[in-house]
Amino acid sequence: MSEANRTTEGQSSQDDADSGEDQDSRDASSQESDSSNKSSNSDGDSQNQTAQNQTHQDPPPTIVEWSARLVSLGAVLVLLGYVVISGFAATSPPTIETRVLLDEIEIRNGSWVVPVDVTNEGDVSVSDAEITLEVASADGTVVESESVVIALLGQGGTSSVEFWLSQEPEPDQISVEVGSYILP
Amino acid sequence: MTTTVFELSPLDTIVESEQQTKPLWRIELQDLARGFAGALFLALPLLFTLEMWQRARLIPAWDLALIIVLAYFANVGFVTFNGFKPKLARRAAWFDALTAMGIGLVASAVTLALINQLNTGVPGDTMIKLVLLEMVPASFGASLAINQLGSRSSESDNEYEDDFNPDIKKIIGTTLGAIMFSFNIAPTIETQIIGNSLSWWHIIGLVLFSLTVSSLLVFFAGFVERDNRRGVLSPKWLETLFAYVVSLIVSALLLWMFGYIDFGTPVQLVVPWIVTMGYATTVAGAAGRLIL
Repeated sequence: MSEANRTTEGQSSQDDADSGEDQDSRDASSQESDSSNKSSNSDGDSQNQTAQNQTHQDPPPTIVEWSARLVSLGAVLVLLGYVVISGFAATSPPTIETRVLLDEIEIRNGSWVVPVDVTNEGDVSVSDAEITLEVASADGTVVESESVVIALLGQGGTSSVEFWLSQEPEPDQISVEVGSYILP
Repeated sequence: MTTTVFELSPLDTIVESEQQTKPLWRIELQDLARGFAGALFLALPLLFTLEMWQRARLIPAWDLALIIVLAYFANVGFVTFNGFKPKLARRAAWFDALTAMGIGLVASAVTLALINQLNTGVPGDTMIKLVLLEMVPASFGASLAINQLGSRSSESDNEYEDDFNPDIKKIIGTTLGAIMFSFNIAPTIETQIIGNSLSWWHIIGLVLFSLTVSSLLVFFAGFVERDNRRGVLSPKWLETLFAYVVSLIVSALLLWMFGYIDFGTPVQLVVPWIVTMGYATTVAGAAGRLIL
């Protein structure tokens, strides 16, 4: 695809050779010519064009492209700034909180399914977090124990897990503990 | 006569394109659409990659900030050699690189939202890191849209290349090509699995084969006409060897970017991983010297 800019009627090509004068000639022609403006393209002096083309376009962009540039700049700077500021912020170590969803315990295929939400309240993501659910009898003896490993628990992230038990657990007999995890 | 950086064309500016007149703003929208398509074309595999989502949750803030800054300069290089605008006169590398990153942001955010990786259950901090990390390959795709999807100008697009020192051009081409074509492999764990399974004979074989393929691609396959200007790296063996070193450096950088190596990683692990990844970056770097 090739593009060429056309000259405005009445303008000399010599004037158009200098892009600095283009702005003036465009301003002048806008007062004289009809609604459409036409600018010329300089095909000469490729060395200057190479150097200028790092920031300069011919013809210069319209508000459409400038809008895209400004929105891009704003978005990247805001997000990057947020990341940089978060890098300065004090970080709390991983704090794994667990919550047994007692009202959602149910029977499936003859087993008791106990859902548990596991949340990393800290500012550091962890991987391979081992969570153990234990069911104790009245005298404190652990009668059933199941474990799960959560591959990745991001900062502030929550993972929902389900433990399958062979016996119906009493709410006050259930305990969930964090065994270990790997820091980044 | 002076020119200013912030020049603005009126909305009713008309240019000729493909032997018909078009408003410039419409061509600019086409450029943005082309960049968007290029962004998705390169980044979609990574947007669907679990390791990328995991890395976003684990990457330290400073590492991510550094990666974004480096990505901007890589995009300047990509746009200089390629870009998403067919006509060289309308390229402005420093600005177009910024626009490419904006396009990458939008492409990443929209896709991640559609595949439910951005949702109310994901903390805001994680979402921002995920979008920024995925923006990197997406912006590369936008910057290389023309190379990926066509629409080259019938005018020469090689005016920039002729102004570069031939050795610098080879280094830049190798680096950018290695980054661009190896980015899809870099986040995956398979490189480590492969590296851990290799004997030293495998590693030596990989090194030799990488060098052979690189030389084959660039000097014997005859894909494109070579730049015949002489430089320090003119001897074929020297160019191949130097390009391999550059490719290994890119390999190490990519592995660091995705958290697989750092200064504390044992050498006996690092070397096989870098050489394994280096196979991909070497072939990609050779392609970069041809394409870019």
